[in-house]
Amino acid sequence: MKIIGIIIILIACTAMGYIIDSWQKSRVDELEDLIYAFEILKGEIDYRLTPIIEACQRVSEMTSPKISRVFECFKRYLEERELLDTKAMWKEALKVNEDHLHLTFEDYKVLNEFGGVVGYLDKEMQKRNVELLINKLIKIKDEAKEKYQRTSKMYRGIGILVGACISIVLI
Amino acid sequence: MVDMMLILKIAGIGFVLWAIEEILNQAGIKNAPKYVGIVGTVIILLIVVQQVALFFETVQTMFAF
Repeated sequence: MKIIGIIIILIACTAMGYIIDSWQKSRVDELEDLIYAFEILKGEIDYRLTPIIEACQRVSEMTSPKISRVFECFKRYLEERELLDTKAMWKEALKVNEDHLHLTFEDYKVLNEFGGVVGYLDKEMQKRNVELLINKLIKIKDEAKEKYQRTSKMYRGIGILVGACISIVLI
Repeated sequence: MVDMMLILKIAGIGFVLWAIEEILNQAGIKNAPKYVGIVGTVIILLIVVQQVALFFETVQTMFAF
């Protein structure tokens, strides 16, 4: 019985290490997808002069399922017009999909800025705002990637070792 | 046999803590290894103090008339 308990603790701690590691990897992937999505959006606004609802539809069709959900939601809110402004709509779209994403508070803070400026003034203004957001996201993504590369092995190793330490104490 | 287990246990904990400290040092986290060392010392002290208390009890019973 004792051995079974120890094995369970060891497996749980190892799994925990791997889960934290995969969480960080998902964050990097999602940030990359978001940059890709905003690049598409920028292209749609700049070259094709597509209205924001259609542009969001196009972005949701071309990106990964997780990011696609956010843009789909945003598009739906824009069509329904139940919320007060685009800022609230974008915020709500992010909030609804929060469970599916692995982004941090800082990431959401940067992403929320997009809601305030989307659809504001002319094409150039919107293009510049999206570009600014993309630059910020690239910076965050680079930091996240660097952190992931540095701590990836650490989380996995510590998971196993903490499990081993608890097992030894319990023996 | 029990004493050997105790020594092996302490050695095992020491080895695991050393490995954790090495990993943390490699990851560039500077403060964490210190705390790991403190936690490790406390865990080992908890084990040792129990044994010392047991030893004192044994001595006490030996001299109790």
